[in-house]
Amino acid sequence: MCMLPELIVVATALTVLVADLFLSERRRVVLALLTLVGLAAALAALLAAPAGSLFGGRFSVDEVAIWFKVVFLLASFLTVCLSLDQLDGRVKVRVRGIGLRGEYYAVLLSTLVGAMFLVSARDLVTLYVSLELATIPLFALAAWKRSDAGSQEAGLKYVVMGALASAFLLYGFSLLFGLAGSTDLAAIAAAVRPSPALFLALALVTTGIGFKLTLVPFHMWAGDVYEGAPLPVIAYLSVASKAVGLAVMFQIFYRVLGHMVKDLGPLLAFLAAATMTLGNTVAIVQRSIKRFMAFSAISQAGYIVMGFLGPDAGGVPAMLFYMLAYVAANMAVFGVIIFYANATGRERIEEYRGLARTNPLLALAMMLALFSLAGIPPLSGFVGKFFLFSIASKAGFHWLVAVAAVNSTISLYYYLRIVRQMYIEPVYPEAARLPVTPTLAATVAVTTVASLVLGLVPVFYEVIHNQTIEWLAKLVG
Amino acid sequence: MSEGAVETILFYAIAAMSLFFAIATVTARRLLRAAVALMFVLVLSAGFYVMLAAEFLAGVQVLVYVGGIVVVIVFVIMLTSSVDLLEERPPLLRKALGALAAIGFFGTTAAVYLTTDFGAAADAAPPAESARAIGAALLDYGPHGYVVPFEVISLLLLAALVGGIAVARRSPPPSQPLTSGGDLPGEVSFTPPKRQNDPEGGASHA
Amino acid sequence: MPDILAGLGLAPGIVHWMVLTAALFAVGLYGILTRRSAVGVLMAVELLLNSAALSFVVFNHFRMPALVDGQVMAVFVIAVAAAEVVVGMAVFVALYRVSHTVDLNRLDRLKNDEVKP
Repeated sequence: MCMLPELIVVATALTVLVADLFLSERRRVVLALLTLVGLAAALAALLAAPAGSLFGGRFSVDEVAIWFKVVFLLASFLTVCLSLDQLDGRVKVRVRGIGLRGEYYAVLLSTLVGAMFLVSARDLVTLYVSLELATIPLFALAAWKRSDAGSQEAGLKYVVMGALASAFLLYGFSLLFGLAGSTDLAAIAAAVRPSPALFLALALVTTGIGFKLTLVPFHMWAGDVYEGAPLPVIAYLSVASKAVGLAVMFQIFYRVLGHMVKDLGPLLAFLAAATMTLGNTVAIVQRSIKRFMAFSAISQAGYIVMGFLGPDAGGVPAMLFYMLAYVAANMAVFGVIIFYANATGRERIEEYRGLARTNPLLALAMMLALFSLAGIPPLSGFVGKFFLFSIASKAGFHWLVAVAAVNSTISLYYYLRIVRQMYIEPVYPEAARLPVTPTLAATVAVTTVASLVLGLVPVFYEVIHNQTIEWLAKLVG
Repeated sequence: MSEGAVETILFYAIAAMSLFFAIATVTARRLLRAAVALMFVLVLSAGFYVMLAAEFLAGVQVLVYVGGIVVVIVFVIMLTSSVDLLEERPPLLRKALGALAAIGFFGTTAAVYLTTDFGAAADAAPPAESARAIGAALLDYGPHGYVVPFEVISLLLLAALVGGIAVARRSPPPSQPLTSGGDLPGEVSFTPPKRQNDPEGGASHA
Repeated sequence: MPDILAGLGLAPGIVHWMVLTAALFAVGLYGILTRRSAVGVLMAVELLLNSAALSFVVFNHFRMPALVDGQVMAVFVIAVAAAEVVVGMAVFVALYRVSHTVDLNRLDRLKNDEVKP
């Protein structure tokens, strides 16, 4: 029963929604626990269930789908861990207008279901509808701080941009459908030939995906949305939403255009170079940590796209591994950001000064996670980047590798800006050790250790590699 | 006049009206007027669907799009008191950029269509009742069915409903004590009588 | 009369229909780029979605008239558009309540780089 993980998540979402009705406000604390248990059960079911397909192949789970679902489930689990202190009010500085826990978790779980169905979709209709399920509820989550104009404005910008992106994607889908005369992805792959109409469809679809994955020049919404939306929602956006974009890209570029993805190399290389360069240069001048993370996430998307350049199938495991490493590192960073915002309400880079003096362990975790994002050995970010760079190099895009290497150096500079604030700048005069809740401490600890271990112990990459290296060959061959 | 000629004339007539109302939708300075123009575009699209032998879809279009979506849009125009508001004219540069992008898109796309061979039009007869065929396809769990998206969209509508209500809801329900959860500071500022004699809420709001 | 129209290549075929969808899409695009009110932008997006749905039905009618795959997709598109409008409008109403505008040009709160106390 390969749909079991999805069904568990749906059941959890509905249970949370109904339980919310019957619980008093004080008791609603258990909703987070309920959500976490459901997510853990879904993860267990996912790892226990074999690959397979249902409904005559319309819903199909293969190795790559399993890894994507692992990423989605982990990202959601960590997001709930990061959310629950704010939602339950266990914070020094309250977030204005955030609340409605039952609805929050139910909506979050719904977007997760959309993401999970998306990687298992085998026709355009399911792909489109599940992509919308993964996106539309996020508009509401971005605006979740009711009575906070910034959050509402973030929601509004996200709605407008997201709707526009999905319209482009849809028009592109309609061309793919028209060229092939079928909604089935495999049938489309068999029917399409390189032609102006196909490239038009591809341009439209890439625009739609570009919004999701924040590829330059479709990234403009990210800065404002990250600035205004609630912090845990940004954490989810920066990780899961990006993985969703990558999953759609897998579906279109590998499943539909697998036999001609090699010819698209220059286009993808250009997108990757522009994305990482712009993300990095704009990140340098940011003062707000949220906006900073937005552009940091944009540049990370640029690195990931390099995986599509490979002449062989090596890009598939490389991208999946990088995604996993990115989830660990980014969630650790957001864990510390959320801890600091909960305890002090501070959200600007220069306000992190002296954190290493008051909370040395958290500062250490933040530093390690930032170094992982920058790609410092031996952290997992370095290993992931190494594989991605070698893919691009093998494909002959040496200029792109050079650009990426320069970008990594630049990114190290701006990640070090935060480290400098934490370790070198003088501490606030009245500063004392800030209390940290057990959930946040555990989340940060686990994700930081994960970004170390994923880099140091090769077995993780080997497992991913062995399971997914054949995937593309099976698809195209 | 044969049937073909009538269809041809009808196509161009509806297409011209459709484009006219579409342009009105994006240029009318009164938003309410734009919403009415949008309604006409959508009704005319239902006409297109009838011409394309998709009668069921035409019905759905009128019921959901015109009867639902446009009504919601009109509600929001009224709720955000944009009814009497004359939208400022966009600056000339922005208009020019918009026109350039639109014409560029149309030119490229039309050029591609004119040079593309979409394959010979198939000659099979359409299913006698499109409603029946669509219904069967939606609940078909075989290799050509759409039962998965049918289930997924039910969840999407639920999530959109829950999310929409949560965002647009004004204040916590009376049963919910104001001292609870993270709901406190923002909510208090929206209950005017309380605001004056609640220094704490006011302070955190300021 | 029919011969003249058909002889001029005017009888609506798949290309004519698709050019029409492209024109409707382009008009929507213009609206998105020039509208200032967020409600206006969302109306323009509805034009885009409508033209995409129309294009699915056109392909369905000309390429595979015996099947209804494109019509099914159009039904889903309409339903998704409804969901999108519901969430979008909820956000607009909530935003209007706190800042009394849905004018995209005036919404620059997030750009302000003020230091928080």
